[in-house]
Amino acid sequence: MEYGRQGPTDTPYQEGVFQLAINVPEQYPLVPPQVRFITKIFHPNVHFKTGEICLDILKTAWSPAWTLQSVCRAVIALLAHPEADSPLNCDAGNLLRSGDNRGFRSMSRMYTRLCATQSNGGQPNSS
Amino acid sequence: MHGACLKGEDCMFSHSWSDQASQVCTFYQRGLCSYGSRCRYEHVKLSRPVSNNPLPPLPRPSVVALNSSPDTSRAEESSSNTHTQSAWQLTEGKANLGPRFLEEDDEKDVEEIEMPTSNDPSEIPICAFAAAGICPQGDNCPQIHGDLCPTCGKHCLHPFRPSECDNHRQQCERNHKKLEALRKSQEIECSVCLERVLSKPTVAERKFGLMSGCDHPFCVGCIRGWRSGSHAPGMDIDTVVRACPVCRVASHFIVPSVVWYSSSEEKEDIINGYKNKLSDIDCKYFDYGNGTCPFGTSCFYKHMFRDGSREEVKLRHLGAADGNTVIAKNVRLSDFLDRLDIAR
Repeated sequence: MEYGRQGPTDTPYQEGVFQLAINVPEQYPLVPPQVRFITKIFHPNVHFKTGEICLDILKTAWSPAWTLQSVCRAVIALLAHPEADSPLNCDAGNLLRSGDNRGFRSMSRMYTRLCATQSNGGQPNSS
Repeated sequence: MHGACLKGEDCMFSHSWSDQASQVCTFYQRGLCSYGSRCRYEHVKLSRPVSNNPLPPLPRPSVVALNSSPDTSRAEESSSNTHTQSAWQLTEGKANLGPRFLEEDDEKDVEEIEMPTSNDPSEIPICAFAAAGICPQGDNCPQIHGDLCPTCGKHCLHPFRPSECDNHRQQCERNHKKLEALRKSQEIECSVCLERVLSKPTVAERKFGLMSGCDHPFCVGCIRGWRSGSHAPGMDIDTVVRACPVCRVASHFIVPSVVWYSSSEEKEDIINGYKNKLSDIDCKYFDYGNGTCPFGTSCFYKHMFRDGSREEVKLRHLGAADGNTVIAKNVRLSDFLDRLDIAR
C-alpha cells in the first residue's frame, strides 16, 4: 500500500510530497504495520538509503488500538519534530546535535527539492 | 453458569457449579449418553418408576411459596377441578404430591383438614391467566386477580402476600436492569477490531474482556490475543503488553463478560462473580499440592489438597535495606549461593 503526503508546514519538508510504503501484516493490528519512505528524505530518524523509520510506536510501543491513520499522523509528527538522539541518518543527527539548525534546515530543504518536489513526481532520485 | 442467564434467580435450572445435578439423563435411558460417567445428570435405568426420582430443586420463589407448605398445595390440588391453572404449576403440584394422594384414605383426611384453611385469602393462588396477560373470564373469574407490577406490566402481585410481592418487584427490577444493560452493550465496539462485540460472527467471540485497570471496551478474543501473542523483542511487558492499548494503564487481569457495565459497582459485581466461579475450580498448576502454581497466593483458582484442606497462605515479611517491608516469595538457598560466588 502506498500513501503520498505533503510535508508538514513550517518544516523544511513542506514543499515536498513524500511517498510511504505501508505493509500491513496478516496479524495486524496485533503486530504493527511496516512503514518506510519510498521518497528519499533527509531526516535524522529515517534511513537515507532504505527509507526505514525509527519510531518507537512502529516497533516496541505499538498498540493494537492504533489505526493506519494514526500511524500516518505519527510519521507526519516525526517530520515536524525530529529526534536527534536516536539517529538512523547520522549526518542529519549530528547536524542537529551540534546545534546547527540552519545547516540541517538547508540540507533537508535541498533534498526535499531534489527528491520530493512535483517536478519529478515525488519519485526517488537516483543521484 | 457463564453469567449469561437472563432469568437470574427466577431460572428453573440450577446456577451453581457445585450443585449436584438431580435430573435424570434421558439419553442414558434411551441407551446412548455420549458423556458417559462424566454426565452431569443421573444415569437411572428406565425400569425405576419416574415418580420416585428426586425432583430438581425449585429456585423459583413464587412456586416455592405455593408448594412448600403442604396445606397450600393441597388447596391447589383440591381446587384444580373448579378452575384452570397454568399447565406447569399443575404438573409441579402433582409430581410433588401425586403418589401420596393416590391413596383414598389420605385424601379424605386432607379434605377435612384443609377446608377451613382455604378461607384465608393469602392461601388462595392468584389467577395465572391474569398474571400472564388477559383472563378470559374477566371479572367472573373465581380466582383473585393479582395487582399490576409496574416493571413487567403483568397482574402478578398477590394482594395478600406482601413478602412475595416484594420479592417479585425486586427480581423484576433486577431483570429489567440486566436487559437494559444487555441492550446498551449491543452498541459497544471493541477498540482493537473496531467491530461491535455482540455482533461478532460466532457466539464464543461475543464477549467483552473487562480490564481491571481501566474502562476501555475490547472483545475478550482481541485483548487476550494482544496480551498473549508474540511480541517484538524490545517490548516492555508492563508498560506496553499488559497496558490498555488505548490509555496505557496496566491491567493485571482480564474478566470475560457477556454484558458491558455502566457503573463501577456493576463492574465490581461482574469481577467478583468471575472470581467466585474460578475459586470453585481446582488449579491445574497447583494439582492438589503436587505442582507449583506460578501465581502463588494471587491465583484465582482453588488451591486444595486431596484431603480437602486448603493451602495455607504464609507470607514472609523481610525488612528491606531502605526500611520498607517486602514480602518474600520462594526463597531458595541456591539464590544465596549464587550471590556468594559473585562476591568472591
